[in-house]
Amino acid sequence: MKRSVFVLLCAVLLLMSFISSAAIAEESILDKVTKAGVVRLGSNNDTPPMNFIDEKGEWTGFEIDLGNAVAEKLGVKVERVLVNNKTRIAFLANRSIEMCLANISHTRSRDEQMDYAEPSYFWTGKIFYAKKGKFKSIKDLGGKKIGVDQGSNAFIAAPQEIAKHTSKAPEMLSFQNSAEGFLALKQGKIDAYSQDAQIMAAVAGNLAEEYEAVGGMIWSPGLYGIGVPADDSKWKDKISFVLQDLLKDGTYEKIYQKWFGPKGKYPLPINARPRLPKDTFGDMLYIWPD
Amino acid sequence: MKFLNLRYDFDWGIPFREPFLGWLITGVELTILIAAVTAITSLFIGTIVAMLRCSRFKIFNIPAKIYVEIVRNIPGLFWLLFFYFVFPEILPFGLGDTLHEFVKYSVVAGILGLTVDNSAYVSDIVRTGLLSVPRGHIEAAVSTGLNRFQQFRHIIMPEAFRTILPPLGSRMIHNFKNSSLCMAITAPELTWATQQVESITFRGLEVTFLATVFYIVLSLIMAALIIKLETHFKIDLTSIKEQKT
Repeated sequence: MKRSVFVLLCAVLLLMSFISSAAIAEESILDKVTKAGVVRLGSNNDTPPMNFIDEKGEWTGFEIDLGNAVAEKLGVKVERVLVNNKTRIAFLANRSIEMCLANISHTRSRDEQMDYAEPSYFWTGKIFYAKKGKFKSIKDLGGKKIGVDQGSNAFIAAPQEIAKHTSKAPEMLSFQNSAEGFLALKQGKIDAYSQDAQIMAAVAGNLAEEYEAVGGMIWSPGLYGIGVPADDSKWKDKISFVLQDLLKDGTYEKIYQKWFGPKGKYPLPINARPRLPKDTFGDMLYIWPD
Repeated sequence: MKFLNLRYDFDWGIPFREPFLGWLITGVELTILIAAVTAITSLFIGTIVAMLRCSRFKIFNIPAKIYVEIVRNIPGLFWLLFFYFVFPEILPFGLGDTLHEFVKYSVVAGILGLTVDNSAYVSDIVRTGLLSVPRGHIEAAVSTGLNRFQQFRHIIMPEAFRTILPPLGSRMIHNFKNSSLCMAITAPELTWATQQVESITFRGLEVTFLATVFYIVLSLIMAALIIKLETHFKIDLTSIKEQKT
């Protein structure tokens, strides 16, 4: 009796594994999402001005607006899934979410686990954020304490960058989010914090005047792309086309102005829009021709 | 052929690659260090608080009671965050700035936080032990002319110690596992290391599995040690009776 139950169980398990793996191979996420009418969208909630929760307790931010616009164009509802810097890639890799706008910079190691819709929708980069006048250049950061978000590739990349300028290795600390990291920076627990420029400025808020990017420069490009699960080109293409349509029809520009324009909530000194080189193309956005 | 439909290909090379192996080894060392130091400090403070609580004088027992109630009713993680972010701010004479600048302050704050958290529970365990000593034994000690220190040294402590040992042991195992909370304040202990490896490689199951095994094995070793201590200190009543006859 017991043996027959065991055999039956094995058979069912075997069958299930075949069925589900066959299903993955056939159905594109695009079909699944359109059928269900819902897209699971990964957002984080602690990286203003990209993704955060406002005083009223509502999700807001540049990426929230852009993500909603993409879903609207797809004609589906958004099911928001909270991700953080550590889980965002893993969720895409195991397909817990279908799309993710959570300031994911394009890196090679990430690209091995997931895909990015094109183009990258926001062009920024990592700075070393420190008290004004404390450090003249990245060279001065040798042997200092540098904080990063846990989940940021800067934990390895920042020491490599500093090693180009000086032989003294920095001491790295990783925090659970940028707000805690900034508090530690304020208290003097760390000498500099490495994060993308616009996030640091928003986290610092009123205190932003007292801080600056060391050397006034971005040391590593952060080209944010919409993350999609790997190996589903039908879905990736669809999201890319939708994103480029939003760039073309001015929706992107409206959202950009709302957050980063001169009259926006967080005016940006740099132009972070995805665009082609000015000397060749003039002011042309990064859109594929039909 | 796969039985479980895990969309995950295990790569057991990851935990043994640099710099991940280095992070994990430092993590194991720091976890053991934090657990060991906090076990000693919390036992010390917990015992003092328990003795104060058993005191007849209100100036001793009321503050001790307040301490236990405050500490026990605040989550352990809050104590860690308090010692890491707030404590240096309220210190006078620029002592706080010295702490802020200390590179390993996260570890110190972790030890302080866990000590405070654990000491409240330890004090309660010790107090029950002290109260469990039968009144008659203490009266007998008094009547044989032992002074208060001798009563404590020869009668109360040996008896209470045996009652305390099992719950104290399980509290210390709990405290050892609580060391994983230190990851929230940047202390690079084992759980921090697993999260760090996951965030760089996007592959967390392998290291998390190894860390789980480590926590289980070390907890079991601690439990075995405590049982060994219990049997070692056990009073064999039958042998005492035989000696008497």
